[in-house]
Amino acid sequence: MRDKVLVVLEERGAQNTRWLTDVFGDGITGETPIYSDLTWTTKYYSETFDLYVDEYDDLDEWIEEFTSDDCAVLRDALAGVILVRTGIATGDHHSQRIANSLSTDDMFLVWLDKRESVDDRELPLPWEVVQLEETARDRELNEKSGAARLKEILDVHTWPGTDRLEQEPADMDELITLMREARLRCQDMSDDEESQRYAMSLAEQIAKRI
Amino acid sequence: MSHIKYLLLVSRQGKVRLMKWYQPLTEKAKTKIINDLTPLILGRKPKMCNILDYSDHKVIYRRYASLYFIIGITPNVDNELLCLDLVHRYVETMDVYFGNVCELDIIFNFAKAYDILNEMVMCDGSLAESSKKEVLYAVQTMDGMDDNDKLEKVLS
Repeated sequence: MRDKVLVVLEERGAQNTRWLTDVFGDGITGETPIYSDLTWTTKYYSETFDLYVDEYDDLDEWIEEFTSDDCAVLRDALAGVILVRTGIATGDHHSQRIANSLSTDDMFLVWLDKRESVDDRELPLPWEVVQLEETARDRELNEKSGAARLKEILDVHTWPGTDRLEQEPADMDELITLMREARLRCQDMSDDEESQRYAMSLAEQIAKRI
Repeated sequence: MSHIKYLLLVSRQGKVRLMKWYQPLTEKAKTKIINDLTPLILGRKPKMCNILDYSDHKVIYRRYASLYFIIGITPNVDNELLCLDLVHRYVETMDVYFGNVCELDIIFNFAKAYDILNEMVMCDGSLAESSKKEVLYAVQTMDGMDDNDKLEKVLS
């Protein structure tokens, strides 16, 4: 089941800690390699996932290890990869090697860039380049970057078995009691207009519950 | 105006969130259009022109946050700027309906997003209604009828 998010850091430092906490919540600092059973909640669904945090000194070596057969099980379990890097080399082969090793149809790949000015189209699909720090231009155009964009990417990801938060099923006994009480109340009302208004507001209340 | 050929809504990650075809096309042709246009438009720089030639027709697109609205139009028949305005009107209407609409709202309420579009553009691709107020009134009336249906179902 693809329910693990892999974060790959350039180095474990204060800046990394801040965005990790902003995105994944308090206590997620990146100092521990695995955070299990985290919950991602939106207004439509709630999903449990694990967060894996790794780091690299040499990206080529890290990719070598990540794309090896030993990591096949890990790759098959990933919902997405967030790679932190400063800059993208021309004709970048790192992103391509990572993408080629993964089945990217149902996962997200984010290149989190620490430069001050980044174009999110610098890498071809399935990668998205996200700038770590929000710029004045982003604010002006109401575009999201950094932690806000990462949250959005996680929100719209198709998690395995994502179920829309089910509304509590309507309790029929409670509804019938409500209608009985309303009927008695309506009988006591002498004004037709008032009872009509009451009936309409009750109908709306019941419609919302079901 | 105007007989647009199709409208696609594609996310920054290349996922198609909505698609509406106003001219008959085979599944193969539809897939080709989506596969061609998605990387082509997502790869364009912010200051590049929002109108481009593709195959035998023109394509206009506009980006709103993480979503790209893409419309195929007939050259010399449709007005490109009017189509851009149609996209803007559609986004504004969804914004009012959902309250600051985002990609997640469209994913989980795609039927409603189609309803709004259907009120604005007829099935042959011509503009049906440009008034935001009228479109919202029609969609909210549909919601009301839907609620009443559910209520009647329970009461019966």
